[in-house]
Amino acid sequence: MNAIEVRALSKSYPGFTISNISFSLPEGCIMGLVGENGAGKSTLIRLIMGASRASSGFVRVLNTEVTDDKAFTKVRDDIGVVLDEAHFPTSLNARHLGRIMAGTYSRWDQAVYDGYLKRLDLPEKKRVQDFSRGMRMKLALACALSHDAKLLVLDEPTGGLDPLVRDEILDILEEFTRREDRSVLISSHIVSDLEKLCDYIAFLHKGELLLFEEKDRLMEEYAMAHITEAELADIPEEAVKGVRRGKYGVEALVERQLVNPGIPMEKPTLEDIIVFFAKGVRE
Amino acid sequence: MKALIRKDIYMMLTQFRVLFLVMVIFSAIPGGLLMPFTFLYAMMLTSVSLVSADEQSQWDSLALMLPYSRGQLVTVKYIMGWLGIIAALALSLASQALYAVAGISELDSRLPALLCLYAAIALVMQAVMLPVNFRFGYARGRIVTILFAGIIGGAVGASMGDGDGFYTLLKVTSRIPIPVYLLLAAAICAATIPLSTAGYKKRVEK
Repeated sequence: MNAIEVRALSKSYPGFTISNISFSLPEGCIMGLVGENGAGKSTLIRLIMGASRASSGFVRVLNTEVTDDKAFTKVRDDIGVVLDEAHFPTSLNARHLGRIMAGTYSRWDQAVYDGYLKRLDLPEKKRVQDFSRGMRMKLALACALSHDAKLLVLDEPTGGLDPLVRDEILDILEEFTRREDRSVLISSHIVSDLEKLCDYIAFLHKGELLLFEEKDRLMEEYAMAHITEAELADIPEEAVKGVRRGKYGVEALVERQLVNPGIPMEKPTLEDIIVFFAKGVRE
Repeated sequence: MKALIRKDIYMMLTQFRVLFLVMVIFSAIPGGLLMPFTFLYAMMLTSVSLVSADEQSQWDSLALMLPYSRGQLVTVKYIMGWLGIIAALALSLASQALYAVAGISELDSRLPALLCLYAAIALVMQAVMLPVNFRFGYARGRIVTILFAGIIGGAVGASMGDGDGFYTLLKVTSRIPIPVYLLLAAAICAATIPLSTAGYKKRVEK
C-alpha cells in the first residue's frame, strides 16, 4: 500500500507552475523532498494535504483522494503535520495546545505529549511568542507525534536550526519510523539531514520533479568521476548528468553502468547528485 | 468543533484579555449610553478579531491540515460572535439591574427590548462582516469592517443627537415580538455561514 500517491499533478499560479508531478511513497518509508527555496516544496505539501486545489492530476493519501473533503478530513486524524514556522497562536502555551489537540485528534495521548515536552525541555506555561524557533519546531513536533499518526508530513522542520536541535529532531523522526506502518514525508534544503534519514529522495527544481528514486539505488546508480576533458569526451553523452569544470580537471556526475569501469569513479554524496542534477553543466 | 471553541476561548483569555475588559466596562457605564457600542464591540472582538489573529499567527494555514472541516473553521467564529453578543446582553442587563438595586439609576422597562434590538443589530452586522472577512482576509476585509463600524457609529451618534433614535426604532420593531426579530436576525446571520465557507474555501484553497 502507498502512504502517498501523486499522479500527473499540476498547479499554476501567476509566475509559477508545478507541473506533471508523479510519485508514490510506499507505506513504512521515509521520503525526502529536496529543492532550493521557491522550488515548490511547500506548494506540493499543501496539495498533498488538501490545503490547496490542484489544477490537474490527483493526490491520494492513506488511500483517500484529498479532494474528497469529508473523507479526507477524517484521514487527517492519522496525519501529523509540522510546518516551517509552527504556526501556533503565539499567545498560547504548550499546555493550552495540548488541550486543544486533545479535542482535535481522536487518539491523542496526553502522557506521550507530556513526555515529549519533558524530553525536549519545553516549558508548559511559557507563551509560544517567547519560544525560540528551535523550541517552536520542537513543540510542533511534540503535537504531531502524540496522536499515533500513521503519516508524518514535515515542511522544512530543520531549516534555520542549530546542529544540536536538528540532530535531536532527526533522532525523534528515526524513532517514529521504527514501527513499520509509519511513513514520513519531509521537505528540506539541508540535504545532509535527508541523507541520514530517508529511503526515497524526490528532487524538485523550478516546479518540476527532476528525480524520484530510492536513496540507496541513487547512490549505486550514479558516480562522481574526476577526469580530464579528453576522458570526458570518451564517456557517452547520455551517461553524463552534470559537469563541473575547474582548474585541475573535470568533475562529472555519471551513470555508473554506462561508463567504462576503467575510469576512476567515487561514490557521490546525495548533495553531489542534487547539485549536479540542478545545475547540469557548470564551468 | 469543541477544540476550536476551546482554542478561541484561550485566545480571548490571553491575547484579548484587555479588550475583553473594555467590553465589560462599556456594558457597565450607567444609563446605558454605550450599550449599542458594547454589542457591536463584543461581536467584533469575539469573531472578526479572532479571524484576524488566526491570519496573523498563520494558524489558519496549519488548521487547514488538521482534522477540521472548512465549515467547522468558519462556524466557530460565528459561535464565538454569538457567545460575545450573549455576554454583552448578560453584562448589560446585570449592570443596569445592579444600578437600579443600588439606587444609582432607574431600570427602564424598555431595557430588555432595547438590549434585544442591539443584539439583533449586532447579529446582522456579523452577517455582513464575517463573509467579507472570510472571503478577502482580514487585511482587505477590514475596510468593510471600518465602513460598517462607521455607519453604526453614525447611527448611534444620531440617536444620541435627538436622544431617542434607538427608542424610535424600538417603537417600530415593538410591533414584532422580540423573539421573532431576534430569531430572524439570528437566522439571517446563520444563513451566511455557507456563504462564508464558500468564500473562505475560495481564498485559502487557491
